Amino acid sequence: MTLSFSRRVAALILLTLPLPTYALDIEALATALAARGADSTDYQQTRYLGILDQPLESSGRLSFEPPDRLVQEQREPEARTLTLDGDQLTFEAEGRRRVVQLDDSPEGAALADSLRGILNGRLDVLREDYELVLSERPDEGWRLHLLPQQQALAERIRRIEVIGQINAGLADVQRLTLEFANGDRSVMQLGPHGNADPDGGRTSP
Amino acid sequence: MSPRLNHALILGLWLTVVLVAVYSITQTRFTADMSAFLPASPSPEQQLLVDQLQQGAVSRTFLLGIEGGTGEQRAEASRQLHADLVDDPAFAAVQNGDRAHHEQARQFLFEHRYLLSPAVDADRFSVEGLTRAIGASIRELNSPLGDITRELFPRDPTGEMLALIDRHDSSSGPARCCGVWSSADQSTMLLVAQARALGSDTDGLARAAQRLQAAFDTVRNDVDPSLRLAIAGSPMFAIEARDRIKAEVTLFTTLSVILVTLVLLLAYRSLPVLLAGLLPVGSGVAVGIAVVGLGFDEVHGITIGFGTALMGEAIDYSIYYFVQSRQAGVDKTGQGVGSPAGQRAWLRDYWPTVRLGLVTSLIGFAALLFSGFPGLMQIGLYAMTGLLTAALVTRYVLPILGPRLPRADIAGLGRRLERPVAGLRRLRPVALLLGGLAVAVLVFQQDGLWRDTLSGLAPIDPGLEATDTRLREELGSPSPRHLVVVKGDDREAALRAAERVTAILDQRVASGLLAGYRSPTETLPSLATQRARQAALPGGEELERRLAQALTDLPVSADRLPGFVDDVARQKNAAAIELADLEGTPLWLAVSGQLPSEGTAGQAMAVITLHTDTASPPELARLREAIAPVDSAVLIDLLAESNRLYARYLNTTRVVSVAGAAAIVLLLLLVQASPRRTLRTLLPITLAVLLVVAGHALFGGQLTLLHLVGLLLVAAIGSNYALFFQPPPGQSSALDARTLASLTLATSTTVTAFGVLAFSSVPVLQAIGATVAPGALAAWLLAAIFAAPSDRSKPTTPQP
Repeated sequence: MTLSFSRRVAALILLTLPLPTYALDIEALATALAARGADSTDYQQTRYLGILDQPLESSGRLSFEPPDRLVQEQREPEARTLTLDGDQLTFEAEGRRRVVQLDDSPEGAALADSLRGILNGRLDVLREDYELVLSERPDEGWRLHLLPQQQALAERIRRIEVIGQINAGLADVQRLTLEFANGDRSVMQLGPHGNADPDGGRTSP
Repeated sequence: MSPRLNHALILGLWLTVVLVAVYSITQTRFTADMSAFLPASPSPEQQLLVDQLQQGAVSRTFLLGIEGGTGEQRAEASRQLHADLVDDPAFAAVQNGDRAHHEQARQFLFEHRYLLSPAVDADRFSVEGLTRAIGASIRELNSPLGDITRELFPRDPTGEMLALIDRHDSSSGPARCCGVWSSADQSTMLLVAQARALGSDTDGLARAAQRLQAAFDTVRNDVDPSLRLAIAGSPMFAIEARDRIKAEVTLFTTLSVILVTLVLLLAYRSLPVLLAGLLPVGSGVAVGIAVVGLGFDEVHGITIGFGTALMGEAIDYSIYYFVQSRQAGVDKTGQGVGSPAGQRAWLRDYWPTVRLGLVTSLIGFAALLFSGFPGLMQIGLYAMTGLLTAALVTRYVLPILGPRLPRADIAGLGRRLERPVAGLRRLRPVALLLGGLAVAVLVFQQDGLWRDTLSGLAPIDPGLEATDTRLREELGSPSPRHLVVVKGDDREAALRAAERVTAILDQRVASGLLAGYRSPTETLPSLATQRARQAALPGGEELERRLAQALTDLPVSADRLPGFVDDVARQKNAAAIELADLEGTPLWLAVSGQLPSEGTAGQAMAVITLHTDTASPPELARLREAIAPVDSAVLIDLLAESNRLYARYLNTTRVVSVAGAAAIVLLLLLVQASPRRTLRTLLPITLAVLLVVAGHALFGGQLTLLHLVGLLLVAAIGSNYALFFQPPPGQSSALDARTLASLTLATSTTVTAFGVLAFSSVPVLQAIGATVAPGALAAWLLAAIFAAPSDRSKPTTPQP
């Protein structure tokens, strides 16, 4: 089910029109993202939930290993680890492990896939769930909007916004914002890339 | 009464009995349920075990794997197959892990979370309890899973749902692909189908399996022809074993019959005699089946195949009659073949020996009646009735038909054998030495001689076993080994008892002594518990008041949680969950499987399966002790219990066999009135049994209950040989040529018939064949070796 025909048309026009001023297209971004390979970075996450009076702050480290392993290791305020490996989501907290199959949780799957699809440059996977809208920002910056295509997903997620920059042919991700249908928001700010593993994946062309 | 009238009466009676038997057989139900070879056990643990094997959820659950094609095609086939089977009355439940069903289960848990969550008590809903629980949930909102729990929070701020999901998903469950269960490598889509037929209803299960295959064939034609279906699970083992036994019983019985017929034809050289010779066995089979049918309501397929083999002895009767009556006729009266005088002489000189052999055999088979296995009891009754009938037909019917039949004289064979057989007597020291060695072997190997586990009793197809193991591992559902079973007067009582057990188990899980467990009370708590939880929930206004207090230091205010207040209020006054409410959800499959239908009238059971991968016997002993306060709770180690139970029955059968042997000895002492003669009769039989057992110990591995049955038969047949080689006093004691010929012929038919069985792949048949064929041969040889010398003109009357 297409959520919005007009939005899709808009995206289509955006993608197909010859726009010489834009140096970046989706395929080039995908290549630049995929070229980064293994990566590890600190993050800062802020959740703005309508039901709570104040935002929730957390921080930790995010590691990615191609092709599909993503580890979110939260350090503050409490130690929690979320590992996404293939189709399996493992959550570890206070010595307990919970294993969730992505298929069990469509929303979890769409969320997990969005972050992973961006980090490994598999934008083609993202297209299964989202419509992608790319725009450029100054200084080789870029902004990618993910718009849910399926009705069921759209009932929960309004939009995902990813902001990043191209650095020497590699695409860094700087901020990931989840906007939920009910107005809740979750903003993940990614710190400087690769400080734990400066050479990790970056040496490869 | 004239002899003619007398004959007519006998023939009429015989025909009537056979006809009635045949009619009765047409009314008899035949079964192929392998559990007939499980003991009809008296102890409660064993009853539970047998119930589990016969009707437990595992015994009815098929595991399906769809292979071939593309992932999407497999998933589509899985969905179509599910849709096709889910409303089929042959199946109680079908699952393919479809997200919709998963969602359905979650929906149910969510709507009943305050009745189901063990955390719900008065403390949880006090001001402090609410602060604690809601505070914890807010911390979870700030975890990497927060983007998912975010949706639950407004209606479930105390986090009951997460606790329930955690418990229900404690075992990680199968992997998924394209929205349905799949193997980890996604090459196989997995489904589980629970048949409505009981585990003991092999025919019903076979129909269910056919239905699965037919449904899949339709789906395959619809989706992609390269798709394949793998079916496994306990029912498939039962079906496969049944089919194999059926096929092999048919094949080997046919082979035996053909070979025996050929041997007899060769000996008699007369078709009419051959046919007449089969009358005793034929009548025995008919009457035997009819009597078993009347006594047990149904006749097991194996009983017929197996019991007919046991009745191989009955063929011997007609051999004795045809060969020996001519002998008697010729020797005593000098008259022609099969003359009435010959008949009388046979009846006088040989019938008593046959009769004695018959009685010893009957005593031997009577041991089976006390084995406690319905299957073996059937075989015992069948063999006894059949033998008796065959003997009576030989005694009363053959003498009427006999004189009208031509017959070949096989005395030539006997005469040719006479010298070598007489020469066998020189082997006495060798035979005794072998016997001594056999005893030594048995003493040496005493410990491992008997296999006291059930394994190996039923045939298992390695291919099916491999498929079963693979699908079971992928489904993440290993067969549980340890169960706690509780009972009560009704389901509520059983559930309450189960809750007392889980309270004990919870402590052990918390202290790390137990990995976990699954109890039906997780999804279906007792009414008492549900009511207690409802009572612990505050009313709407009271909850709002407490929330206002509880949330003062938390970043959420009570007016944002109306969904929570409403849900608590609704569930506080909702009707309690009953088993019927679960129907149609995937939860029903698990819960109903753990609430087996009542074993004995007026008793309900609940089964808690334990996660005890690494539990050692001392740990289990402590666990057993821990649950002791709950009266009806029994911890069952399925493997150990079934082995223990089998060992006990093996033991019982051994004791009964020894008692049977003692009875035979007493009988022989009484009839032969001479300990020395009895000793001479018993020596060859005993040696034959010893040699066979020692041979198995040396070359054939461990003995099972079925070998014991074979040994009984060796003793029964061997006693006939020994008796003929030791004719009673007052008769022409020398073993004459025709008697020798008849014994040789009888031995060769027995060895042929059972030798064939030794090549069967069905353990039941193989064990019997490999015991009886060498045993009969040894019994014949030993009877000849220890025979009274023929040159001794008069049998001595030994001094006491």
